[in-house]
Amino acid sequence: MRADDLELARRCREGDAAAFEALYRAHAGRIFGLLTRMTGSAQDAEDLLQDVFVHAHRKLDSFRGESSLGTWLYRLAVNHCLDHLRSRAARMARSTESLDVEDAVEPAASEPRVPTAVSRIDLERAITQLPEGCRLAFVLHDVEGLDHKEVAAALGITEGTSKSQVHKARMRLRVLLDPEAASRKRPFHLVKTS
Amino acid sequence: MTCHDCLERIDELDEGRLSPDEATAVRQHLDICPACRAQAADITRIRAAARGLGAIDPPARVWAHVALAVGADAPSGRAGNSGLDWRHWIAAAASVALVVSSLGWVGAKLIPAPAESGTARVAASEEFQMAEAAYQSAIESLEPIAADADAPVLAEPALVAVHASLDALDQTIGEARQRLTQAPDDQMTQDLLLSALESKIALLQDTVDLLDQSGATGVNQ
Repeated sequence: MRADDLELARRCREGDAAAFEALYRAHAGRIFGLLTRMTGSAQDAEDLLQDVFVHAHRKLDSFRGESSLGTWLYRLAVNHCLDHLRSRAARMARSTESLDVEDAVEPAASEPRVPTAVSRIDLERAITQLPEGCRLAFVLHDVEGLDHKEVAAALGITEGTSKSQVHKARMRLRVLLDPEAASRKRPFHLVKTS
Repeated sequence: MTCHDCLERIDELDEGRLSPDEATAVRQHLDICPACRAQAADITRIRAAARGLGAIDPPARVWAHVALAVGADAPSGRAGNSGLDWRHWIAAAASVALVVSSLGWVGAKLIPAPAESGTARVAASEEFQMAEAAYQSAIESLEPIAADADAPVLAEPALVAVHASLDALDQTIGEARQRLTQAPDDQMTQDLLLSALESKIALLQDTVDLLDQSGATGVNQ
């Protein structure tokens, strides 16, 4: 697998157009999904996907095969996207606002509110409505499968903050996926069992 | 155990990463706390749905733009082992970019910014339907030609990939159209539908091109 990646990278570096197209076809879908959910914008994701692959082509000389090409591209995409989001946040003068968003309203419910089979469209839409800080943590942890340590390293936050942001995202999604729950409010309460 | 402690451990419980004593404590809390039980069920459902989201096919225009940008970087006439060089590629990408950008332009013209008045909303809805009809017409003109992909001119893996991609796109198109019957003016679903239709056109066009190169369509014979 790694040998295949090294061979593909070598062919791309040597100007083999078909090899680079194969690289794009193999990884563009996963990276576009990641970028769409991280930015909450398909248009931004398109621009970033283009930038990532153009940048990757220019940086292929630095690919040494320590990880797979897919992992290398994935890291490139995450870092490029975070740079974009930081730049956007700076432009909008609200760089830390999203990470400090108050917790979502906890719906008072003794029964599950999220449908057993969540529609992909509903979930994709709900993710775009999350505040940026908890959206990033949720996408990297719950969608992409990174653990909290990896999420913390990627976002430059603590593991505790990562856990907190993912929990906030899930609670907001719980409301967003069940419109009826939006009108219910319930503070956390304590139930002693031991 | 508090509700907070319990909910903090739901991931570990689902993944079997708690010790037997910890797992028992969490389950005991869930047994007596309906609110946490409901939240835990929702968290599990959200996580399962999130892990199933998977890849999203980017619009064909992205590859066209990447090819143009990367091709512009490449030394003129530089060829790889395959014998393909960037000059051929740039020409092909430019062609795709032109076609797809034209469709995108038509779509942009037909789908203005969110409407403010009732009259404008009706106009936007009609224009969306026109755009959808234009895409559907393009698909219907390509499908009969691409159907020749069932002929043994394409390698089995390519056939499987084409059919899998078409099935996935058709599923998304069907789901979006179903959703639009309930919420006809939903902008996001409209965008999703047009994007899926655009991807299907690109896939069908790629298939037709492959068949054309193999001489199966008879276009160049």
